[in-house]
Amino acid sequence: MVRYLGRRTLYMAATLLAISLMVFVIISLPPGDYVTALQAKYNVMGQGLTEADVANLRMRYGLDGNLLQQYWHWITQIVLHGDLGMSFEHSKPVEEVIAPRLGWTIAVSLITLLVTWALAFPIGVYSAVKQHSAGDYAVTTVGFLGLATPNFLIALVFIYFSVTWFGSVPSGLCSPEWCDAAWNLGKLLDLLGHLWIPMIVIGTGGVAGLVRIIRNNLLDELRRPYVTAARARGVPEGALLRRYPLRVALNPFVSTIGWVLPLLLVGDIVVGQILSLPTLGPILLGSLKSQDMYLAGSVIMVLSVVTVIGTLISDLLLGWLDPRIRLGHQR
Amino acid sequence: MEQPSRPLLEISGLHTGFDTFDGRVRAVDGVDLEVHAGKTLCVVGESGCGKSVTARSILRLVEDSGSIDAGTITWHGDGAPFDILSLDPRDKRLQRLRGGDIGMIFQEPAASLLQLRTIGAQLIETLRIHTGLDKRAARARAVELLDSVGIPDPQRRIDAYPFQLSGGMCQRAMIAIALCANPSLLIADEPTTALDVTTQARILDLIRSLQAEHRMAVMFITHDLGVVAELADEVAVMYLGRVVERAPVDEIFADPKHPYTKALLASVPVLGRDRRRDLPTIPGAVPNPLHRPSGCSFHPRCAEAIAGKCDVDAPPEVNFGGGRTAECVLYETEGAKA
Amino acid sequence: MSLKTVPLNDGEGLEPTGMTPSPSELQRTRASQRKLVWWAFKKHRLALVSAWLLAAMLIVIALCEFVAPFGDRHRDSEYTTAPPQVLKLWDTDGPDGFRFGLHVDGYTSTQDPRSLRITYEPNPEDRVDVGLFVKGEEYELFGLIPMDRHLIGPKDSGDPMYLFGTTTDGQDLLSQLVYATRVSASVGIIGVMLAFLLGIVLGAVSGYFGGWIDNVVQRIIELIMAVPSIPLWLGLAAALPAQMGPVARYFIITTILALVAWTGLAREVRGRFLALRSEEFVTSARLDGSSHARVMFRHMLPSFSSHIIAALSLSIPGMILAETALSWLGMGLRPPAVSWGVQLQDASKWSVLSGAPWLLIPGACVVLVVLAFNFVGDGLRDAADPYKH
Repeated sequence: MVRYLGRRTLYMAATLLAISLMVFVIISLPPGDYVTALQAKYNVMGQGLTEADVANLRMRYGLDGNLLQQYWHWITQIVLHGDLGMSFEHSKPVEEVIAPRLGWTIAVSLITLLVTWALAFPIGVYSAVKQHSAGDYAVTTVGFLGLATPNFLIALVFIYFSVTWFGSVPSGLCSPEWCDAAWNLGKLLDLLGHLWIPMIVIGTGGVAGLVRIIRNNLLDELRRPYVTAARARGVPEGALLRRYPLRVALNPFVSTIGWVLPLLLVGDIVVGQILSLPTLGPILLGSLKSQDMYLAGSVIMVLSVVTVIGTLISDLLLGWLDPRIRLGHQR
Repeated sequence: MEQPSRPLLEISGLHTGFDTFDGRVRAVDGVDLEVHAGKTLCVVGESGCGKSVTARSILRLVEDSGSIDAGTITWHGDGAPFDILSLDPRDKRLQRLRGGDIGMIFQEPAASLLQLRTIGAQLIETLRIHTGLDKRAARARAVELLDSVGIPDPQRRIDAYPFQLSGGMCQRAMIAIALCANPSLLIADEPTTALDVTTQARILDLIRSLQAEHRMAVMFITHDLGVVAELADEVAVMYLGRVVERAPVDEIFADPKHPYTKALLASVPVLGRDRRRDLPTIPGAVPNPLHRPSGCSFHPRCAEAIAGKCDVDAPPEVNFGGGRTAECVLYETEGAKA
Repeated sequence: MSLKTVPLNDGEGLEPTGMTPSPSELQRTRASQRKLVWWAFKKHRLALVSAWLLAAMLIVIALCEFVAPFGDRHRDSEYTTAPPQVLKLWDTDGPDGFRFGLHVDGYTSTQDPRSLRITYEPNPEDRVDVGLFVKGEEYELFGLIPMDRHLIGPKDSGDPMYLFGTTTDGQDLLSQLVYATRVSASVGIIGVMLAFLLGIVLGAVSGYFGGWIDNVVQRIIELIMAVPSIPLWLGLAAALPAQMGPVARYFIITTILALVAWTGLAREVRGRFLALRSEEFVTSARLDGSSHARVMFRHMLPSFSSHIIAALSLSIPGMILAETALSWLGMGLRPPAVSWGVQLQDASKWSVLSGAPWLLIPGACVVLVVLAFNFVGDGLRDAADPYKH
């Protein structure tokens, strides 16, 4: 188990390094840097910057030197000081732009993840156990549709019906009267009232994918010899399902956090765009469009780190659930 | 050899089929078998002849695409005899039969145990279902059982996961589970096929000694005639879903009747005799059960087939008395027709 | 196929009298692998229907200019956001009673006095005759053959015939959809091909040689898979210069998608190679003196080509969905290039969408094509594994 943990942590570190490199490439790809952008801004305002000013600014933001040195400066600033650079568009440090929204993003994603699981697990199990029943066909059909429909399209359809039926589009995560209020039951209910739309839009793909995974896994497991053997020794059907194939089918389910989480985060980009949520999605999109690369890169970095941590958690859960991993019989 | 008058298990007219893409496969096509208390019945045949499906039909373990179409399987246990096939799936008697009165072990011991639970957990679970022992007593009994099937250091091994044990050890654990409720019948579905030769011999010894100790009947499914010679009291030879010959073990080796049995016996190497000569093989392969040959299903591979007869009419079942039968026209005039 | 070359009664003694297998079984035992897969595939009805649908789509893509009633630059500023028309075969309330002939109703427009918004409605009084193979805008089929005939269109090329309605710019949604299908579907197909090239080479090398090569490639794949892909696409796509031409952008977006998607295919290929490595035919090919590359790509690869095609077919939907989402967000293809995602941008303002639900038609198209690729892939995968069920 210790070796397994060690290896997983090592992978995580390597992944984070790779991500940081790619993010840095993304940041440096567009022509010009933060200082060039500043220069242009001052030029527009009629105040030119001298060569010396530019050189000083470059030094201050770590933009002098070659790419490797720039990367080193950028990553050490992040690791040592939590300094993610400057947002050109918002004219303030990136962390100040991100911090207030990060909590909401994680909250919305986690709630959606939990709801996704809570829905997908029973549906998947039902669909596998009652294979070829009408319910199974319905689940499979809806699942196929859910996987084939881009989540922004679901959002658009929602908006269409919302406008034609209610005359308006629900937006944000809280009604105006509650937004600044302190936390209480009313605000919570209001939040839940707003949350269900983004949850449906963000979560549909995830639920459909998970149902499919658990159904296929369980169908495979139900055909295994150990199921017949357990039945042959008189284990009652309900306990049989719970103690045998479900135990096995749970494993890949846990390891899906790694791909469900980014799916949800991206869903957030789309939904945030349409429903104007106070999450990181809309910020990322805006910064990408205006090529505010420090902000964009940082958001991508933060989202990636959240995903990688999610993957690590799922690896730990897997090790806890599966004795083969715990006892080092399998990677 | 004197036969007990009443069999323990009586299979009659069993038909089990499977739905495939190409149509329904009749895997078991009218099988009659009897297992007598305390005796060993060996069912032999090539793979695909329906011997495993017959065994699984007894405990109603036929998988999803398959189903039992006809027949009765009567259990003459301690209580009143009943037909297993007509029980409601939720009937308590079926529950008690599975793992209680009838224990079953399988071909792949490692795959028949759940890898994620300790063998102790799976053994104790079965013990508690059938004996009503409390947790501590069940655990103590489980250690005893593991000890009795020859697992060394059972105190420690009880908490081992199947993947930590060898195939032979897993099969011993399976046997312990199968025997935990003192069954009167053990069904062994090719339990040694997946094991290496020395382990095979040890498991066979174990089964034999346990059988003597518990005085239970054994129904042993195998394709290995060596195993048959070692274990069996009675032998049933199966071909394409039917029992083609039935005989006490010494008679089947001394005087095989059905051409298929003869061919099977001829293909077994005998030390000393078979040096420097090719082993005879049975020509052709087992036909696809979807396209069963007309008449006697063995006639295309039979050396003694009579054209115009074997390929047209189903062969009669000839009863030689003393528990011997053969399904073949060659003996039509001998014995009484069944 | 082997059916033609092998006489039906070749093996004396092996086909004994009385044992008369049905012709279908005889064929089965002698058919090639490809035929077996095809037979199994045909039993999968949904997959078969989907395969036909995709074939139809490919024809539309090839004959795009001919199928679309109008060219991709056609814009009718007189009719913006006009609703779809119904294609009618006859007409009873026209000026001269019953009249046979393809036609649609023209439009009447009304302007809301306050919002100044113009809305269009079909007008049965105004008949627009529609014909097949009519003269319209000139184009070059396959970029070679100059033509001016269109599969369907208004007989008078100036008349409005908008079967799927028009966009906010007054473009014919149907024509745009036909062109968008070419772009979006080809992004998926070309992208998967690129990903496949990468995946098959690395997967084959990894699975065939094993050992440390396998280890290195697997670690790289694991690393790439651990990086959340979608923010990466977004980042890479956003880093592209804004003034890039549509063709260059198309290829770069496709490449970006492929670069992220190859890992799954590589794993699939590797698994197959690993499983086949110790098979006898591989050893014998090696002993025959074939080179590694020849063994890999001439002997091993063909033996699981149906699995590969299935995996390809199952990867295309991801590509299509990614391109659609990327373009819809404004990060992928941009006008004047037209793809399903670009088309759907038109629908993202709710004030527009509420009055013009037909703008969602490209979305239905996405769902349909993605479903079709999935079904074909599933069908192929099941057919390629006859022993699985």
